[in-house]
Amino acid sequence: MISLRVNTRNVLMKIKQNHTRAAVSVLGFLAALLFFRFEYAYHLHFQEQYQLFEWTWAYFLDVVRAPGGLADWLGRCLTQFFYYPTAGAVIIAACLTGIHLLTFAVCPKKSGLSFALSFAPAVAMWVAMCDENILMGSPVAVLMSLAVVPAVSAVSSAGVRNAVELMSVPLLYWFAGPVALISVCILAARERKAALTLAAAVLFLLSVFVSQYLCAYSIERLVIGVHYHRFRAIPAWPVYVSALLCAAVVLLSALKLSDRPHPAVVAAASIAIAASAVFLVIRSDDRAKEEQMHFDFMLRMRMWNRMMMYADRHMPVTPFNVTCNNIALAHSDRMADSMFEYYQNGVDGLLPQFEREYVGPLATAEAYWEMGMVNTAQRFIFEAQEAIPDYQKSARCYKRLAETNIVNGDYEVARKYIGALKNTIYYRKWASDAEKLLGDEDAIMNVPEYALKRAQRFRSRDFFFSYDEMDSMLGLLFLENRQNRVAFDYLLAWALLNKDIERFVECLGLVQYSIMPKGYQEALAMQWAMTHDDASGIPSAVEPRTVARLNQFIADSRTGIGADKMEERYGKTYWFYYFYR
Amino acid sequence: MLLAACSRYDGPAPEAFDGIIYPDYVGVTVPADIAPLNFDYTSKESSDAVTTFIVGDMTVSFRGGRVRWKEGKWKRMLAAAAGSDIAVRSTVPDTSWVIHVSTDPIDDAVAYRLIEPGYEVWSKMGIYERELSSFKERALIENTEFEGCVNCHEFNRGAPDNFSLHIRGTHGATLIQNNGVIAAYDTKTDSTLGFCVYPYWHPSGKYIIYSTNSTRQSFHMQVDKLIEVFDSASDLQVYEPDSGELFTAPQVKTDEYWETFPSFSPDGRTVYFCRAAGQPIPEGLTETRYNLCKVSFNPDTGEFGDDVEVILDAASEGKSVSFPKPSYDGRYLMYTLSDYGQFSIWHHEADLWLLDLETGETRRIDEVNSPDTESFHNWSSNSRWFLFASRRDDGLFTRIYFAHIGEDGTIGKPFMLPQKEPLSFYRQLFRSYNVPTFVTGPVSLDKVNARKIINSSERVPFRFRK
Repeated sequence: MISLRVNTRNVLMKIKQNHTRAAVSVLGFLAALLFFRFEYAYHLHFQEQYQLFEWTWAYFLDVVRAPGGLADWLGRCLTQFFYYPTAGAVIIAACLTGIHLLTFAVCPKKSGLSFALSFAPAVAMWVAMCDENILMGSPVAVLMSLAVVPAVSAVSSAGVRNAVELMSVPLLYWFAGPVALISVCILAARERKAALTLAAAVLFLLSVFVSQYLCAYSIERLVIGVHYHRFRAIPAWPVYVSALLCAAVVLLSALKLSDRPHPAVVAAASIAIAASAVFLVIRSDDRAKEEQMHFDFMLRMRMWNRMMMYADRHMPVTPFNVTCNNIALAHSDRMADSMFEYYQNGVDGLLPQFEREYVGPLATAEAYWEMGMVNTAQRFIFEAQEAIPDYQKSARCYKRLAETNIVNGDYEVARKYIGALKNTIYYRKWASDAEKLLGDEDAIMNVPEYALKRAQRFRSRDFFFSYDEMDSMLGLLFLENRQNRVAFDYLLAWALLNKDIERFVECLGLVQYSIMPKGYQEALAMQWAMTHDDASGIPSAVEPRTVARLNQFIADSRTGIGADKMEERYGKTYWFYYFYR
Repeated sequence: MLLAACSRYDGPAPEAFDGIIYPDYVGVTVPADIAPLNFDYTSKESSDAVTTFIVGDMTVSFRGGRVRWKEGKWKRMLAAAAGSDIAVRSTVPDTSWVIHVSTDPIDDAVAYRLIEPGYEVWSKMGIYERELSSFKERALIENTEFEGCVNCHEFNRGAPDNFSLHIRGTHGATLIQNNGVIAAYDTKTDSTLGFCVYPYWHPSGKYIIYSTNSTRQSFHMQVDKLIEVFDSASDLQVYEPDSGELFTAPQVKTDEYWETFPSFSPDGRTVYFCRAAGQPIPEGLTETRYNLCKVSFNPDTGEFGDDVEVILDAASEGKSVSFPKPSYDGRYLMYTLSDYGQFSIWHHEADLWLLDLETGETRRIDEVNSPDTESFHNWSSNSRWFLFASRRDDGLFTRIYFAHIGEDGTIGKPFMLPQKEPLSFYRQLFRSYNVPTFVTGPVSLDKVNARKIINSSERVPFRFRK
């Protein structure tokens, strides 16, 4: 009777324990889900836009032909769903929870301490996933490596099991990359056979060595993993830490001292891991990058009003963010009025010079596209894509390249990009619609954006792009189509940002305004003040209140008050930009 | 010599554009050891087509819009048709055509660079080798193995053991493999303009002649042009592998002229090259026109003669020559003609021309030209075939075509490099075939060793011979 009661109590305790553990795991899942959905959503968009996952056999073969290729392919497959950040957050949270649960599942002893510690590799991977350059192939590779352990362990015959374990070593290395080493460690800990462990270790090293003859990667790349990090030569340290923690937790669990850990130890470990998780994730959470990616997302989705509203709350200051916001202003016909209400960092925030990287040129390309410099937009987009460090292609870039080629009438080239996009899930519909346009001039002209680009682009003159002669190019663009207001705004903005007031005044004469935009009034008034003794005779386009405010600006600046005070009072004027930036 | 009629080719577009099959194999001439000519019907109506190939009493039929050969059957049919034709009949549309099968053998393989036709930045690229009798392609070297890009590869008359390969970027070097020995060289010297760029081997293997070019590129703003690549200076120089010395001569290293694209005559006693009067760049770019020149060369002493001669005055006709390549039998010299400059791949008007070195006559090769770009070309080792790069497919992505030239100078219709699944392959291929070159056997390159050499910082410096 007593025994039955004890057993019943044990069973009930076990059930309660399982429920508690499940609840904690679910909590962990939800925490990750909420973080990636609401704190890191634009990191997910960023990840998604720098790949082009095609559902084709050729694409699959191309990806899997290197060590870690299968994990990479699966990671890319999952990343395509980041198009919707909720789906992306669910996927990442599921991967992290999977790492935690699998780590616990392969622990030889399922103690409370093992359960608590099994969160550690998931936390490390969470930290890894805060880095936008750690690719989804990494958690997938760790999951694959962990999943092999129960699969091998399920073989009851020791001889067969050991043979399967040895066979799994090169296969897993080829499928998951170097993190496969953790399965070697874990299986060694479970089997506890020195000869088997040695054989598995030798096989692993041999796999790495032989791979250099089977694929086009140096031994150094094969050791650090080919597809864990977007940048080719950079080791994915947080991924290795996560993988090593998986092995460490399992090895620790195999030790005798972890058989029946004191509840205080379990509690302390749980608190330490939870605290570390909060600390490390907060430390890894890069808000500046998230903000940049937010601007990039709004640019990509052409959310002009939302971007300007966002900029009102989060003043763009980096050249990338300023470039994005200036495009929104120009598109919304607000550049002339409101440009200097936002922080400006010279022409670097208007039309930055081309740099060999994969992020900045995308925004600059949009600026050129917006004003109708189609060839230049195409070049920047193409080059940004070519600069993607892991040599992937970009669905976002392919889409825009298809469009630039449609506008330029290069239909067969556009067809190629469209053909690739048709092999995707989220761009297929757009591609199918775009394909119907190819060669159909009337249909193309019925798409307002394409018709506008064709009207805006250079038609009668050919010359070479010259950054040093940007104002001439913008001027010519406007002269070829005087309806091209965006080009005109950029022309004047170029002069104003360069503090070239003479050029500004010269160009301003190309257009008649019924009401002069605020920013231009300020520049005109300033130019008048710099060349005249008083305001009498100032062009009527400059409103009296602008003149009065300029007078106040001059008076205040003469009192010698600091730049901070001046910014407080005049930070949203051209005068402040001119004298204080 | 003046060009007979130096207008660009604006004749009918090759049948590929309105043809019934892709690639366009209608009426082509192929060697008897070429890979299966698989093709796809371009029209959906042809999905029920029956295509029948007939040689003598041998008949092979295919049903459907995709013609896919089994290698054995194809080889037997080719063998039976060698020196004659394969008759092809199609039911939808109801038509027939022939494939001419030449008995002239073609080289074993072709080596090329695959690269996206971009601007300044490069993504994944590499040098690849493709067997011509099968669909087997293998990477010789790819830029996943090091930081940088690979270009300007050249084999000595297709010899797989003798090649020069240039690498740009942080691991920049010129790899030279001479009879199986490979080393990485720093080809820039204080006495020369810059790195060695466009190579050509002396037939003896004793020398490699290079141009050294100060190259820039600019980007067009107009619709139908994208990129212009141009030199602002260039010279010729010769490397002697045995001595490790680089030398030049005042005749081919002038300030007044820009010399580029050198090649040796088959006897090794003449150097052909392109030469333009220097212009202010970039404003004078459209006035930069290269003539075809030659100068004698003494292989015993390594000395250039003083007899620089313009053998094709293209500039006076408002045209520009690039890529002069003499056939190895010494009969012809093929070159590309464009409106200006020397980087003809970005010129839609660029066409292939053939100079008969015996008669001095030159003509545009209308048998192979298209309304779009034809540019780089090379001869097979027996001079009975040539390959060339063309953008006729879509105006941007360069593809390889092969054409037969008979002893009498008759040129057959060119055929595109065969692929197992041609339509999907070429549609999904976003890389261009760049600098295609015949090779006479499998290239013997120890990839792992080459990778180590490239990734190391050690470079053998070229010594300049004063």
